[in-house]
Amino acid sequence: MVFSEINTFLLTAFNENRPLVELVYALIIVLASGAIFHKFLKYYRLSSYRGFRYLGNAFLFFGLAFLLRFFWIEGQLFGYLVEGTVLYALFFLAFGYLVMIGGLYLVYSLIWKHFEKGSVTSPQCARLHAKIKATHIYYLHGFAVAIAVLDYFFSPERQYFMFLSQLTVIGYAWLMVFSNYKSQKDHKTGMQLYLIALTLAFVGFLANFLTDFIQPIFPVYIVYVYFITTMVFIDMLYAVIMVPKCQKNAKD
Amino acid sequence: MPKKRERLDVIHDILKVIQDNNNSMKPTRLLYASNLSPQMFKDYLDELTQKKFIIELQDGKKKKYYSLTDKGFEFLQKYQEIRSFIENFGL
Repeated sequence: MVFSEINTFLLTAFNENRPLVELVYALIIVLASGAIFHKFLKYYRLSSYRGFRYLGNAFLFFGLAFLLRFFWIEGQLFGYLVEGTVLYALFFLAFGYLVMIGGLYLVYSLIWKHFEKGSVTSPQCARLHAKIKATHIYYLHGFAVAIAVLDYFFSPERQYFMFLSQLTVIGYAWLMVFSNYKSQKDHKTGMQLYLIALTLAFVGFLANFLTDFIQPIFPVYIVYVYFITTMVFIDMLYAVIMVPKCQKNAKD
Repeated sequence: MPKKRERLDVIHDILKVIQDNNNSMKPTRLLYASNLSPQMFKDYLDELTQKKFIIELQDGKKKKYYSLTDKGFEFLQKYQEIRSFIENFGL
């Protein structure tokens, strides 16, 4: 009974204040992504370690995607953006591309060493691999563009290609981080939080993918999807804040 | 077999040696201390100079020596934090 009352309250508040909800939702995600990107960029500038750049880029693109999404949704809510127009198509393609490239950069931050092997061992190899790396990055961007275009032509309602690809990509990232986590004797706080963020991201994308099937029978479902997505970024930001603190405490 | 040092570790080791030697070290001594081949050592030294982690100076007898810059000290200070991020996020 109480649960159903909460759900009714949530859904009413969501529907009645949709533009404000979208603003708060976008603000939280964009600010969290910006802070994460800034932190990794700072470490990249100091160390030139590419892993920082790739993970930072993932959050740069996620942040841009949700910023764009905000204008896209608000435009539709206020009637400025109508389906079938060129502007709508551009928003659709750009959002799909940005989310996809963000996910691809996230996975690449975990596997880049396999593709740019020598670059972590010497400056000479690093220079050589900088050229090779560029080719890999073009493939990632090309794949993201292809997914966005496929969705535009074959799945314009729900972007199923993007959601399915993201589920694969995030699922793969989760397996990699989980295997790292299991192989470590002392379970680091940052890694635990990262694993939670990836779990939530997977659940979030799955929930988004299933929206069309579940929302008609359980309307408040969409509110939970928003909540899960927000938690991914808050958890990730918390992880980024906690790592230096835990390291400092361990040293003391 | 000891694990091969990563680029980041080599940079840390070179900077640490200079710092521990009163922030002044001659190239030959630094080469021995770095445990690298002369070619690799040159590559690292070029990179560290280019990135302004170290600076090449001359003493009264016009002999070359290397000192850490502020950025070099910052790298040493943040090294453990950098390592911690790499381990925590599997980078």
